[in-house]
Amino acid sequence: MIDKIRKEAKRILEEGIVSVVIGFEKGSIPLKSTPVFIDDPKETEKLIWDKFCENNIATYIRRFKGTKVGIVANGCCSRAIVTLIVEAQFKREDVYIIGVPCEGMYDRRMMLRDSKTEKNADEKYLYTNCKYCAHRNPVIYDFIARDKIQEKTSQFPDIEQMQELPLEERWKHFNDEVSKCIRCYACREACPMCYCEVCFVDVNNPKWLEGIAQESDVAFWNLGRAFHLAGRCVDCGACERACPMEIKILNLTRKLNKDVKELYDFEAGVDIKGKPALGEFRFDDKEEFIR
Amino acid sequence: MKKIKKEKFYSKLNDLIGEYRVYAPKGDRIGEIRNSTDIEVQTLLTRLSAKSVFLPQNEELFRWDKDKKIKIKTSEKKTILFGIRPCDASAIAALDPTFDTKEFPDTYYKSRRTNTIIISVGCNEPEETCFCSSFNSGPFDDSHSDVLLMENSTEFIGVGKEEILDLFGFEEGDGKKEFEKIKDSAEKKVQEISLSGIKEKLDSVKDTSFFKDISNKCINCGACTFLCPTCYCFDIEDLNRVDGGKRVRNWDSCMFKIYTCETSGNNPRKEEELRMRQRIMHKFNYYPLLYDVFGCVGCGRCVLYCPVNFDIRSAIKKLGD
Amino acid sequence: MNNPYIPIDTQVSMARFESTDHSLKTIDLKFDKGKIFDFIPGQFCEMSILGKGEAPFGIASAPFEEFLRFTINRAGIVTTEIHHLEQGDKVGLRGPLGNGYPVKLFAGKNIVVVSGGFAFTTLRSLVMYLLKDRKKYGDITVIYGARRPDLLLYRDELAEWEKRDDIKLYLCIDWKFGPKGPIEEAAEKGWIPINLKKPSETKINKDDKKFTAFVPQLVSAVKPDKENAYAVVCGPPIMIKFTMPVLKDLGFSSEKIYNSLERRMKCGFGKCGRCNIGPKYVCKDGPVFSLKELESLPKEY
Repeated sequence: MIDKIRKEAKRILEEGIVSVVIGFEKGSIPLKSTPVFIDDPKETEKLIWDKFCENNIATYIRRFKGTKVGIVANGCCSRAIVTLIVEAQFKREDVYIIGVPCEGMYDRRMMLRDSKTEKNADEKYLYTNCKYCAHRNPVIYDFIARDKIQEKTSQFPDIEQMQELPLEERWKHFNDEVSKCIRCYACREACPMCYCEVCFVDVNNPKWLEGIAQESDVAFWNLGRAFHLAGRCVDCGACERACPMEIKILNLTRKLNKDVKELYDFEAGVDIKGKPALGEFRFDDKEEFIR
Repeated sequence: MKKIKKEKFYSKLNDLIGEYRVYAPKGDRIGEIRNSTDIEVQTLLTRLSAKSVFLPQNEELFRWDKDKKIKIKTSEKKTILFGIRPCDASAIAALDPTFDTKEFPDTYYKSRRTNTIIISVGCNEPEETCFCSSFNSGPFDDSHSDVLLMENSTEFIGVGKEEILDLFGFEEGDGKKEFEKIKDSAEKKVQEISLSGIKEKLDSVKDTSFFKDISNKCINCGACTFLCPTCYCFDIEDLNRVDGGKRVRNWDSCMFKIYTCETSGNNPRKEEELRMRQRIMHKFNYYPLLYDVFGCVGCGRCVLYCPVNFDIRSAIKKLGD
Repeated sequence: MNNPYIPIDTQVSMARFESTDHSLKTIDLKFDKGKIFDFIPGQFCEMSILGKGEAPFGIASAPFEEFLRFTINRAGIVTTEIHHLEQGDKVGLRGPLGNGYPVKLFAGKNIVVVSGGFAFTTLRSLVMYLLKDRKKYGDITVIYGARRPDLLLYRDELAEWEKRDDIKLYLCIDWKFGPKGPIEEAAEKGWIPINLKKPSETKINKDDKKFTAFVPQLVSAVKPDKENAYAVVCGPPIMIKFTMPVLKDLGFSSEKIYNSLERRMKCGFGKCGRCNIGPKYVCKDGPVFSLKELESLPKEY
């Protein structure tokens, strides 16, 4: 499969269809693959696809305004591209998508703690959102690197399990997690959908929250970001993987994704002609929350 | 060389808690401990470095009451900082030229610095990402600690200030051979990157596209700056409370887009490559030009925790070409 | 130990608006205790409003005057709050900060001051300082422009300087300037249009003081002499960008031209790390830099 990716990337560069191909290459530390930007057809040999291509590289597309870019995209990355197109960040013609059906990424931190290598790790090490992923095939593509794989239905057993717990336990878990937050904003920058010119935490007038890494401010930051992504989050997990303090951000974002799915039967980034769930009003929208 | 059984050391440490405020590794950060059992060493390097002891993430500069009268909190308590690695200790020494100045002394930093005893522990098994030897240092560098310890399964073997070794009850012993052996094997494991001529090399590329080429994948998240033991940039913020308020300083990062953004909207470092240029030039060109010490100690945290694996070691090697 | 983060208490002794649109306000401060600290023209202070924040402003008064004067342009949270200050209000101050103009170098030399808009603040301080010890310095030329007449600062001082014969003052306005050229209206009000196509060929009579021009064009028209002279340029980036080539053409070398730079600042004394250009901090090693120094720094400005 990787040969097909490299060959296609080489072709679109040689034929001038795109000016740069964004993909992954081998990283400089164990069990890590890193984004690479290739503009020379000869260097397409660098491209790889393995269980450690964990970043969502759709974030980089917006940097290349005015030029067509090629991108090696799996399911969640292609969903991010669709969401960005729906939100008018760029046009469909601006990207050439080399689609890659993906069976999920492994949690490298867990693997390092258990001293596992690529060869002896098993499915136990899949990230939670990869384990329950319902869009393993790219939703749009110009070229697909191999046959599509079977899709599962959307499910959230991790969130359901958490919802069973009593309120005090959930509150304690939430506070334990966000108290680790150092407000470095790695989660925000890693997310393709966080592209606001001035993020709500940086707005000075009015000042919504303070810059301190304590109590209500870290809670407000994490919750605020999760809510701003409701109906837009494609469940790629880039935020949790980027967080240097290993905060379980996915517990917040996946809960909101579950709610949006149940309330509006909507998943972000699947329908390129659709409108965002929280950006559109339909007369048949459920209104049970209005009492 | 002097040594001490670990139980005896920790027992004395517990005795000193109260008279001294004691900071030690607690999981992913350096925190205050009430008992030696609070000490938790998960990884070789704590995620958040020891700079938070001298430069806390949020520090109150002063507060005011309803009548706008200013009150300053001072803390002159004696402190022991135990269990940090030699690179963190070197990093604190690198912060001194900025904060401990004659003309505008940072009184908050200074009072902590003069009242703190640093007891660092050497690294028997350095990480693959460590490159502290590139900076005239090493896994057992004692030049910036009051006492440096080598840890084996039962004892600490220590070098450093006699009065502190005596305070804990270190005694003469035959630790020297073991110390040297572990030190040698540890030093072999640390990668040494050549920094010769780096200031000049950076000067020659500062207005070229070198930084644009290497910074393509950087997402400007700020994780590296927050975990870095030598990064010290801060922001000053006024917080309003019901009965007055306080002025605090918070960690800030040159990687944030709005770091240099002026009120008029003009931003001298709008593009990503300018911010990357600032970071690398500051650490390897401007800081050594001003103070004769690099703004990096080779701890490797930025390499370990960068979400997109931007590797500063590769950037330096690329400069060499 | 003196804690440099703590502001000193001062009281507003005078507050007035400079411009008709109320975008510029001048305030004078007196200290609660003791006399005003000593400073050099070109230095700045961080004005502190508890609960809102701090902002840096160049000192507009001269060291021998009995008040500290600042002119503030209303742009953000802190400046809006400062605009609400009236006589008798209290405000915090930290200073003096920065390096100031190299007045010692200026002794016995001709000084050419070029400025635009509300960047003129520290230059008022400099010119008052030079005029106090007039014999110590050579010719003093001041070229100052703004968009409209009411946006020129310190019109009382400008009127006095117009009358003196030991200082050459040239003012200009550039409102309604466009590709069509100056409007007759301005000429009628006593402002002389300059030769737009070839500013250097404009004929300037002895008593001509007011013109319609952009500042760089007026500098071309005035043709200040580079001999034994220093130039001090302070204004918006676009003005500086177009004035530099004019001065260079007139023969001013880089080490004889001085600029006062601006940057987002927080601490004001080189610790918070944000205002640097290369290894120099604009708050501590500046804000005054010679062009020669700037040319060796990374191009961020």
